[in-house]
Amino acid sequence: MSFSNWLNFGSGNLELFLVAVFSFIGLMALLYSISRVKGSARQLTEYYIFLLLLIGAGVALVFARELLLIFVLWELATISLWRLVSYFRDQEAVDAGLWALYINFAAAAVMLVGLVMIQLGLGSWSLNELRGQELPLFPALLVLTGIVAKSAALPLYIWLPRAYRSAPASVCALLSGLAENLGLVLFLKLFVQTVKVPEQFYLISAVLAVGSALIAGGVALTTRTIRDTLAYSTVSQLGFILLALSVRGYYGIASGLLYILAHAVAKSGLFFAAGTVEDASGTGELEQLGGWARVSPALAGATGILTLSIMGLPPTLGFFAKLGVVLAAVRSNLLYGIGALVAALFTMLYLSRFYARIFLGGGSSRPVKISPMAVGLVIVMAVVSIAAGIFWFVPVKFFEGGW
Amino acid sequence: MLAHPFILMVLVPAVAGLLGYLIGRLRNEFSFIGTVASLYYAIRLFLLSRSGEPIELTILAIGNITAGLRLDQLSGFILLFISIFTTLILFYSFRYMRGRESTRGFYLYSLLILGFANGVVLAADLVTLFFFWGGLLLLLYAILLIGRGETFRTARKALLLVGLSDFAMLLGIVILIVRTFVPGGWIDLAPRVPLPLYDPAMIAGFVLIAAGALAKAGAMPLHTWIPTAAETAPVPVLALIPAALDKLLGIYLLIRLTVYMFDIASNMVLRNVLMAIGAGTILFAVMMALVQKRMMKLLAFHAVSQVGYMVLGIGTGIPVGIAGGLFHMLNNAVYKTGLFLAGGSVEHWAKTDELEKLGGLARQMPLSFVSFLVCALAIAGVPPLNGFFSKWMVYQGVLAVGTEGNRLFPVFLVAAMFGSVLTLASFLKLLHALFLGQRPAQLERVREVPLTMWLPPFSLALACVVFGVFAYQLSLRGLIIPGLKFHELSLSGVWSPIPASLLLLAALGVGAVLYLLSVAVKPQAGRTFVGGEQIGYSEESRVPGTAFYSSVKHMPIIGELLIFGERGAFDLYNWLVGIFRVIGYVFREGVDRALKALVEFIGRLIYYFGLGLSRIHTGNLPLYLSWVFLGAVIFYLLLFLR
Repeated sequence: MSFSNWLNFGSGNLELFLVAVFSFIGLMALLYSISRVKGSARQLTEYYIFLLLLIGAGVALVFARELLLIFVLWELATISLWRLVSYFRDQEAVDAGLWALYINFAAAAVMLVGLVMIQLGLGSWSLNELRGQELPLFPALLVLTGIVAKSAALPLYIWLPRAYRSAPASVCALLSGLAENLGLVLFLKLFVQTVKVPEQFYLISAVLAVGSALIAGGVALTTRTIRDTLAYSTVSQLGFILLALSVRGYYGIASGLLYILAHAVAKSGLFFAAGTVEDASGTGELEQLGGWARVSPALAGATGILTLSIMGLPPTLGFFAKLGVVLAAVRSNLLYGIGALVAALFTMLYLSRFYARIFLGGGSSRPVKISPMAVGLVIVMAVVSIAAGIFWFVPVKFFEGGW
Repeated sequence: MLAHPFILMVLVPAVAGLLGYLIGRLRNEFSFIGTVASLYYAIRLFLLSRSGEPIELTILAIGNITAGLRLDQLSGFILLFISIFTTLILFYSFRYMRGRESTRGFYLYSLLILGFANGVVLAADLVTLFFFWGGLLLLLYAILLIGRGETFRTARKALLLVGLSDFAMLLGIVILIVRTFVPGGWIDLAPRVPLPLYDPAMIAGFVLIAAGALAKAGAMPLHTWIPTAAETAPVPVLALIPAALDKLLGIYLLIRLTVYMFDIASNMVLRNVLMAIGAGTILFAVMMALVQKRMMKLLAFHAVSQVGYMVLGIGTGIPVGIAGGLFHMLNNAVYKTGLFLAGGSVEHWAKTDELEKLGGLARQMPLSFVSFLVCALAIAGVPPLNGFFSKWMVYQGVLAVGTEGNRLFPVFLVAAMFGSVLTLASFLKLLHALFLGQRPAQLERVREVPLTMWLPPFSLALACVVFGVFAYQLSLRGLIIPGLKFHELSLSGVWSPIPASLLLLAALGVGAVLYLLSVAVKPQAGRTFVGGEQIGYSEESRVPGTAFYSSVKHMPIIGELLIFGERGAFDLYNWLVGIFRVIGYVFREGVDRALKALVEFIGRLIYYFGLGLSRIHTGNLPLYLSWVFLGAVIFYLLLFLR
């Protein structure tokens, strides 16, 4: 067992694409934090340290070529998440942070066993050396446990809604746009790019993916707060990406990557908008909100575009990403395709309800102070969603063949 | 590429709408420019398309899938009418919408809808088509938020029902791309030859996409948002979407599917299904229309009912039936838009569309009355107006299906004809309730609407006459037959519109002369006595139109069905919402809560395990020693027992 060159990084176009997405989301979350996150100097120091640590760990994980290194960065991300989720330090927030930590830690321990089994069985930690080798089902499933916890898929997503309920909006944005995608990145790097795994493995991951898309989508139909809706929506959307990566093929991988971009941009933008609305009106209860289109038409328009992107309606990037996922799913198994479409219908329903409850209808139209910075960030996200929707083929041409 | 007329068709209305939205003072001007520019390009493209050679524009080619725009005879024809209807309706709404709330959004959305509808018709393949189609779904949601009352619910209902069909359509498109034997997918909207429908994947794709087309057109069972919209949306929205554009687009796609991409004639089961949907839609919706108490809702049910004829005609799979369906689509758009606009003029003055409160407006609003009358006769299928001709073609198609050995054809034929009778009946009710009968006191000061409001319905009424009288020369030869790739239609039976119209005109003239000459038929006003006292005109003695046909509700089975229908028991939306609620509840309580409880349970187990261990650690040395001793005994026992 040699550890001498375990600090091994490497990159292709695909990795560059992912890093571009993650750094963009990280930058936006930082900008939002500067304008919106308040606290004492000590709290803020800790906050920014862990925020940057999380972004750094994410970027490094994309480039890492050694399983051990990936594991270390993985845990670094978990620890930063724990501190960031419980930023507000009330009982709720502390509990939420602990749930995130415990579940991710336990799953990562299982994953470590899987990684060690890979090293013992195939003789290497290195992704470069593992390429093309055959991996038995059992260690692959152990690794999948960690991925399922980090990427919040069924049945280990349960920490996520709790974390979203109490974390600052910027952290939620970073969670959706970066941290939860790390599981998918590992899936892509290990099970799509590198090793050969028995077909049953992909069957299991696809079923889990469709299950979380459907079940979280169904739960989101009944949620009562902004945060809960967005939390279950994230679980559901990550299910789409995991499904795309599980069915693989050109359509699957390309649309999975596009979906990561579409979802990261749109969902973090939605969290910025949600944070702005919550801060200004002092509540996150959907029943009590309303009439925000009159309060801030710019915010309403930009948020509308972001919801469209997540619903998968043209002319946003979400449309092409979702179309690609459904194409890939139907090509592999008609049932996956139908499940994905039903989940997409759920998405449309709960997001239209979400949007209508906040922005439309009556409600108090008393003048409130809205941070122009936050609105500006939401608009940037909306512009990116539309621009990427028109030029969706540019990223595809850039990363295609990188697997 | 941006200056290509295809792109301009999509971009110009959208840009004009956005400019009008931003610069509020010039909103009407921008909207006018946008629609007229679209009309100009539509006319140019229509003339171009007459050559018969399709014109293509490729936007993007990735792998073996190309996305692009194309103009052929069918799309040229549909494009032209989309622009004509939108222009007329916007012309009407300049006055109608003045001073109402959300006019800003109305013009933006209508112009965007125009641009996207142009895009749908110009799309060369299903993916491009779906891109614009999905955009229309969203604009439908946005435009339905305009109006009075609970527009929010209407918009959500439309979003769910139309969205459901759109997702079905997406699945169909995806199946046609990846699960058929054609490399690259069978998604070209006008391939050289249509495929027969034998392959299961092809049939699945066809059925799913046809569901999207039917829902768009407003056929059962996904139609129920239309009557709901009639309660909240302003008249121009109703005229623009359910009456005109949705019919044009839905039937356009259905024609593309049944004639261009696939050969519907090859599959008798699918033909029967389509015809059954058509016949069912005709009958059920017209019955619902009969008992309505509000004008817009009544018209909305007719907007649904008439789709039945188009679907029935296309479902026959016989050239004459398909041509009849397409022709009926055009005719229906003409007279239904006319009806909505003329009815809207009444509503504009009376401030209500409840039939109870209307009546006797023929003298005050003669032009609106004439437009409404002609359109009403056309929808009822009175010769020689256009509605008669296209229905007659549909009947011929159904009869021809009978000669192919289909035993169900009498059912369809009877349903269609009976529906036609009921249509006439319900329009007699509407004519009485709006224009004839006695005038309620509060409507004394109603006048004719200004030019911009009576001209659009009047010109549409004129079109009803022209399309009917010159049906062969103008409509069929000029528009329908080239659009369908059929070279000639075999029309059996004898109906020559021009001589017949001349005869009818002569008969009407003779009747008029007799009426004017005769003194005997002049109505005599008598005095009314009740209990020996003479009563003058009063509200109590007025007969409003709502009383018509209310006895239908007392008929044994039909009556009860109608009462259920009014309460929404057949409304698929209510069922869907209920199902989704149950699903959400089950997932939340059954999965989400259970998982959370499981995690908490494991946490508790670990906690108690730790608690137990801490109980043992008391700090008492003899206790620790006894543990060590016990452990050693067990260890040695195990060692020796092996």
